[in-house]
Amino acid sequence: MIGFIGRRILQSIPTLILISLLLFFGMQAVPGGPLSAFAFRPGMSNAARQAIVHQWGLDQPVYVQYLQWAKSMLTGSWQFSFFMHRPVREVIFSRLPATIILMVTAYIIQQVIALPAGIIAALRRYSFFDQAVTFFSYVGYSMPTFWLGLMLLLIFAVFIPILPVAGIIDVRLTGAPFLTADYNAWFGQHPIAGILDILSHIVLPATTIAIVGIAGDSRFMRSSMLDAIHQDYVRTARAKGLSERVVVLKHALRNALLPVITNIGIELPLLFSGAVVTEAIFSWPGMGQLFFQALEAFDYPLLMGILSVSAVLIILFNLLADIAYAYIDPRISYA
Amino acid sequence: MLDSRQLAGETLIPVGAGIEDVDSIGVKQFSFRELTFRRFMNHPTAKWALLALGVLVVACYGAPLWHLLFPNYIQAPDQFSLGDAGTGPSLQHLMGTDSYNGHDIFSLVLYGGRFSIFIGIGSMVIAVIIGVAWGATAGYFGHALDAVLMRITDVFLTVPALLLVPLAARVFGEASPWKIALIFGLLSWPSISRIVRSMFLSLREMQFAEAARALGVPNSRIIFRHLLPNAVGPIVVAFTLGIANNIVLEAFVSFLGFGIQPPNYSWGSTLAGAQGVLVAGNWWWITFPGLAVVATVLCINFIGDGLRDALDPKIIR
Repeated sequence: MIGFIGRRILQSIPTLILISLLLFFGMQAVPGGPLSAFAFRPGMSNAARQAIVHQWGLDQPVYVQYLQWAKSMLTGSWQFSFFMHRPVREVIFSRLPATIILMVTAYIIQQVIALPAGIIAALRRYSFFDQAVTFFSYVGYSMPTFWLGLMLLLIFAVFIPILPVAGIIDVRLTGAPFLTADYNAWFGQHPIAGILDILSHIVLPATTIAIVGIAGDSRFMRSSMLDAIHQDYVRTARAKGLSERVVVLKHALRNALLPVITNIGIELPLLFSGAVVTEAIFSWPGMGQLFFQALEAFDYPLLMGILSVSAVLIILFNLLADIAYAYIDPRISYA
Repeated sequence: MLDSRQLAGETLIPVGAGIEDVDSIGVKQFSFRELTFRRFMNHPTAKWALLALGVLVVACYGAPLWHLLFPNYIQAPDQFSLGDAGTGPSLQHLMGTDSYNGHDIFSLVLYGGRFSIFIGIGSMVIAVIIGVAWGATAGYFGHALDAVLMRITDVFLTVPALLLVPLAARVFGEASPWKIALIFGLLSWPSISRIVRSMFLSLREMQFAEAARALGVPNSRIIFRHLLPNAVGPIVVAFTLGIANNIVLEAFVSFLGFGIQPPNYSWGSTLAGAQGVLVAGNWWWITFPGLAVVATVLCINFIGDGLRDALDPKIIR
């Protein structure tokens, strides 16, 4: 088992190096290069321009820049953001909690609805419920996440104004932006009001992500369950007179869940993409919103940092899913 | 893989069909293509989706013609008259007007659909060409070449396309529909190459491939004549579903302003700016272009599913 994990980690190293090379040299291909970020200050003197170029180390050969960047990613503070004037690591870590809160909430809503829906749909194949689930999943799957978010916003924040339009907290209530020292102090004093505040803000973005996810997951659970029900061991279980409850829960469901668990690793990029989209719509102060801000300004150290972190997270979760799968299913060998 | 005689025997034995069609055994022989077509048309939703998609495509690509026929109702985006901004749906403006320039949204949806559909299809054509070549090479030759090619594929699959596309659009500079289609194509091939590779890994071990090799058939001919036709099914399905994906992704990227930009329009770029007036309750601007995307993507997904079932009748549904 440890050998298996070690091998998988070793395998992901070349992938990460390739990703960083691709991204880094891709950034150099932007018209004007990394310097294009500063081009919007037309009155800049040549000397000032030279000073900036030198300050950011952009006068070095590209491969030296890459090595410096890689060194900074591994040991340092991930270089400096052009526009935030803070180390990239600090900027990203200040935004990561909001994204994780959003993803986890959305994922819980998604699974709580999708798994039972898929299982019941499979057990009552072709019933009204099954057809409703199938129809819903087709429609949900075909909807652009951002548009769904906007429609929910229109309905539940504009026409029936019961939920907030944007953000993660109500600054009028807390008196300070999310995760600042003042906010943390306020949260310490009013934990219940703080949690309720975040909850009211998270409903719309999390539901948006979850609806699209439910569409895919309920279908996946349904087909996996259908597959399991038709297996010989299920027929055997029925034939030896076990109750339907035991047959379904112990024999069919446990096996049907195996592919669903591996699917978590495949789903994470989708979940992450969903979070990126909804953050842009709901001004959720997470990584996704940060990414589009950085892209707007072409803050490329920050862009590199965000892309690297998302790549590492995705590789990590794929690995975790593989390990979980190998652990749960004894038929899988670690080789 | 699929033997048409066997399939015909299993699934389609027309009773009392025209006597002249029936051979000595009394079973009509269908080619694989005929069978697939029949199964597709028997699918409960796929044929209606195909019809609906046809109507949508004609409606969008016929936009210049509708403009000539009904100049009062359909305006070309380059000659918009500045009308009443932010009016709701009416007979004059079926889907209302936008809140800044008073552009007719129905016209924008029709004209914009051309580029949305073009980018969806164009990008996947590029993706299939690259993906098939890449996956076939990796799967057929195997060993070190396979390892290297698939590592590169992993790179593209690890960073979400959602982040790479706007970045690439920025790298490519001013975005024309062609460039956007190219960018989407260059980022969509890895999933196709994965599918082709896994098909080729098993196909190359089949006896007919071994027989071809034993006869001294060159590798390129084995790949294109013997193996590729057997992998067409999953490729066609992935192609179809990829079109749907890319239409959705394009809508988002253009909505944010990183994709198609005026004077060109797509469904996504039509929506750019709509979020700002959402709070004022201008529901029509956001609703109708989005519904166009949903309708198109829904049709394509139904067609993709119909194709999957038609090409692989063994799936339990």
